[in-house]
Amino acid sequence: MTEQELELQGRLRAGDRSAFRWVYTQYRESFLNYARKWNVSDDDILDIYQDANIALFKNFERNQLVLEKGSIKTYLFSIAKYKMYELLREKGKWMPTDTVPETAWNEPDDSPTEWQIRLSRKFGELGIRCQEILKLFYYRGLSNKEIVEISHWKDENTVKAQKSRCLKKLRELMRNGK
Amino acid sequence: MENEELISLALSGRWNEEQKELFRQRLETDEAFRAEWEEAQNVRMAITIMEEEGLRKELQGIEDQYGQSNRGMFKWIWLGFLVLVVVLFLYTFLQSDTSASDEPEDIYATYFEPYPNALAPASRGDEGTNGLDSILMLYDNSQYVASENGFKELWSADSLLEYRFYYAMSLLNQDKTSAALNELSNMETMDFKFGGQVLWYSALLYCKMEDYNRAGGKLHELSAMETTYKAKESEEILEWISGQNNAE
Repeated sequence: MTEQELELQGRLRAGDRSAFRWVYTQYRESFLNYARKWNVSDDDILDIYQDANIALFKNFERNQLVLEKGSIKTYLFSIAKYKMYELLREKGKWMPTDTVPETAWNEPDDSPTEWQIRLSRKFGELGIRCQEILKLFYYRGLSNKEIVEISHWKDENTVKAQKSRCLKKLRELMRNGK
Repeated sequence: MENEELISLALSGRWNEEQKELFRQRLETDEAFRAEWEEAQNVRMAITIMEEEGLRKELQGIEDQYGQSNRGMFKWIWLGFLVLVVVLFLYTFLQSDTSASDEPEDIYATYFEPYPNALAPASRGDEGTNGLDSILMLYDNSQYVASENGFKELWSADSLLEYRFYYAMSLLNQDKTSAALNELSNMETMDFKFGGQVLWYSALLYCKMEDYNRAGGKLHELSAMETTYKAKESEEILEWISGQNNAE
């Protein structure tokens, strides 16, 4: 694996949006050209490509994915191909079995509830510092100690106290808001 | 182990069998822990929803730059364009003036020349930090397929309009007419070093496509810029377009 790939993986794990944009634009044409052979509209292809990029980024940032073998492009294409396979199946079209990714990539079924959707709106009303600390803990799964290491927070106790204040604020917003 | 620590381990997925077992036990026996875990899952999902929305917006922004936003709308515009072409074709056919003078391709061929490298001198062995020099060298050596990719990468990384302009020029030099025109159109309203050049090459492409109204419009805009860039040539083409209009 090249140094550039390793660096890019690190940036994706750190939630670097410019790395996310780079991956998207870098392989876009290549995927469009590849996928057009399935006789699917460009709209559908782009939808699939966008979903695949979001899934890839989520796996790096939220699940701290480490690709030891294979490139980011290969991984991205395997997600996108699987999604394409699903779309073709829905449309009753056929995809040669040798093209379907060997390990079927699948997202866990995590459809949000109404409550969670409302919570996400309220989360957006929190201040930036609250959003940041809650994201580091709940989304990226970092411990208090790790949060101190990568952020401006003084120590673990400060992180703990701040997190607790932010959660309280979020609960209040949920109670008071519509 | 505190509840918070155990929840952190569960969220990260970096835990051993012993910790998993402790988690399971506490979930079964401790109501407060169960509530904390449920809240943690809800917050995680709430953030996931918001993140996904943000990412989707970001990708839509990129697609807008590719000129493919409002893809549904684009279909209708395209359909309208096709209808217009058919009507114009029929009109021209019925009017059939066979004494048409210059062909649009001639105008294009007469006036088109690849825009030179005006970013930096490309000299061998002088590698810039972002590879700009080597990409300029490819452009100078007419290796436009490679320079297209190179400038696209630079532009993705840096968002400098100058890179985007040379990306468009690389497309243009490969006769990728609509892709080049699309890029140029997106740069038209932006104030940067190559504003005049964007208008000039857009006008030439419209001539090539026989859209003389738009070509004329671009040339007028160029004249209004108070630049001497292609002033004489613009005047000549405007005169030619005017002659075409009078002939009709």
